Amino acid sequence: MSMVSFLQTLLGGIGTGTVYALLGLSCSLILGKLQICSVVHGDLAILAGYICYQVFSAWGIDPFITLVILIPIFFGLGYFIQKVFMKPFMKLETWKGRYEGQVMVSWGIGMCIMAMEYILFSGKDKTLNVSYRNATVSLGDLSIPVVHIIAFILTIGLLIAIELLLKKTSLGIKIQACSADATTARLTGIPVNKMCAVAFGISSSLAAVAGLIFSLSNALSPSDGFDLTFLGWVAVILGTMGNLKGAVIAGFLMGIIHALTIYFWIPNMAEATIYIVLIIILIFRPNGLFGREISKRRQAA
Amino acid sequence: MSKKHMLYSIIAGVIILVAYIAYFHGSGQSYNAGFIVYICLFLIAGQGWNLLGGYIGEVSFGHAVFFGIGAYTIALPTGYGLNIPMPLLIILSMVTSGLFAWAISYPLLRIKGMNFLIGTFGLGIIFLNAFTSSQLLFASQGTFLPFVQPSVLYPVIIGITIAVVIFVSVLVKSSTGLSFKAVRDVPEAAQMIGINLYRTKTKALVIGAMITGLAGAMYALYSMHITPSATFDTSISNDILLGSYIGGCGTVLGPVIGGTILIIIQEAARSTITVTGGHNLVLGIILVLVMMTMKQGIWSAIRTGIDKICGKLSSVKKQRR
Repeated sequence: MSMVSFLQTLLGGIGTGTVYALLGLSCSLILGKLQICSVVHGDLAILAGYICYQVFSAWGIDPFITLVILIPIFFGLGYFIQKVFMKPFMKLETWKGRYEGQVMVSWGIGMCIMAMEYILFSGKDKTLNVSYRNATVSLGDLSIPVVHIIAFILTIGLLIAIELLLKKTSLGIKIQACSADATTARLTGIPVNKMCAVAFGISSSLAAVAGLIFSLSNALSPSDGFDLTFLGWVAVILGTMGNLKGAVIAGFLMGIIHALTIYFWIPNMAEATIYIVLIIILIFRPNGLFGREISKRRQAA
Repeated sequence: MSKKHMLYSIIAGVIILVAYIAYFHGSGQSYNAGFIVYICLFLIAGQGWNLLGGYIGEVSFGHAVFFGIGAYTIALPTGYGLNIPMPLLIILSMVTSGLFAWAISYPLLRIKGMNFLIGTFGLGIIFLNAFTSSQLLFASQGTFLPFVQPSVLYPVIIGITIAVVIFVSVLVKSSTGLSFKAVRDVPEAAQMIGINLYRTKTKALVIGAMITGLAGAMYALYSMHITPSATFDTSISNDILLGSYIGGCGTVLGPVIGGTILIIIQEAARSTITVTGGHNLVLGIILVLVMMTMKQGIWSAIRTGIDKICGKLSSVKKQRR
């Protein structure tokens, strides 16, 4: 195997990994900072992909323009989901009752979203045929799809934006305070429930971005949502819960594993290999790859 | 469980079994008789899931793995033309599921919460993909099993369901079952009185896997044709755990009630919403409603309702006195 094709596979893997990285970022934001567990993000992503597809095929509007409108809409949707469905479980302890309830409720919502997609768009694969879908940039012997470059820049940009938001703005600091100690935060006058809802909204918007990127390089099918959710969670676990950078790096790693499996081994096993790697890593590092930043509280939990 | 309760439940079980046999012959082996057996398969598997998911409190999204291993243990020897007596194969399928659960307990039970959930889900995906792509395991077209007379098989499955429910209700009242609950509710205190957390969890996982494997073996005999997508698919895991959640996990009768409701609703939704995948809408709404209104599931809600009524009645009696 030549060096060029190996590098080509790696680059393709990073391109695929952006979807996992973004979903991992969105799940890591709500779990790591506020300990909200949700398995709805993959379905939200696919929903965003379908909306972009529908708008593009009906009126020919570029999906990135749709995305600008979709981000506030998905923020509102996430805010609503947290306020109505996830809030009742926030009183419970994280690993005793809370995550089970939240996983089940968000899974139910995800199922409804999936079923609506089945009913509205049928189960057949849909492809978002934008003009730049197959365009590539050649770099020496390598050729990189334009979509992957946009996706990579978006992922890194969003990671930096979220980190800055959490560290520099007052909103982010409030979210951090809720994550560190919800009771004290409430005493100092921070509306904890509202902050949770805002964080969920932000993470839903991130899922919408991930959905657009997914729809630009894959065919859309309603059942993908469930798988994507769990792949996003794998990125969270591999990159250590609560570590945003870790989740993004783990997402890229998963993409590379995916691509290498297709190249070297059975293409059918690509998704399974990611999980095999996850289980092997969990044997040696139960806290994930970047476990150093883990807080003492989380270790005790 | 006291001897009196035991006797009552065995008598109830025998009555149910006799009633089923009467119905089976009376209705002329109708579709409904087969459908009841189909429900029972998921009830058995749900009991297996409940030991780990309800009593230990570790939600597993991948019990289809044990289900599928049970089914394939019974299907592969017949697929390769070996002639092994069926009862032996059924026991063997339980043993293989249990052994596999024991082997997988090392990486999986050291993690908990969301990690455990994702890990078990991944296990399901690994098995589904491996069995679909391996020609040795008959790949995606699957393998066929010998025909077993429904008049023999169906009552046997009903009998096994009753036996499993009684076994689980005895188990959870025994010291082993109490140690499960202790590990779930007060792990520190359980450790202090000398319960090994890891070993207790392994026990629950292995016993649960054996029961689920038995359900898989029965499913193989029931459907007579085994494919990876019919045994290892995530939808099987979902059906197993949704039944317990809707009914109320951590109780014996919860998964029985929930599983029955779930499978009936699912089939009804499938026949009314003809679009592929449309039935998920009904399931999702039910799941959200049940989790939002009664967090402990339907059976607990019913029980607290009964308790309230009984409490009111007894207070009325006291006032009369």
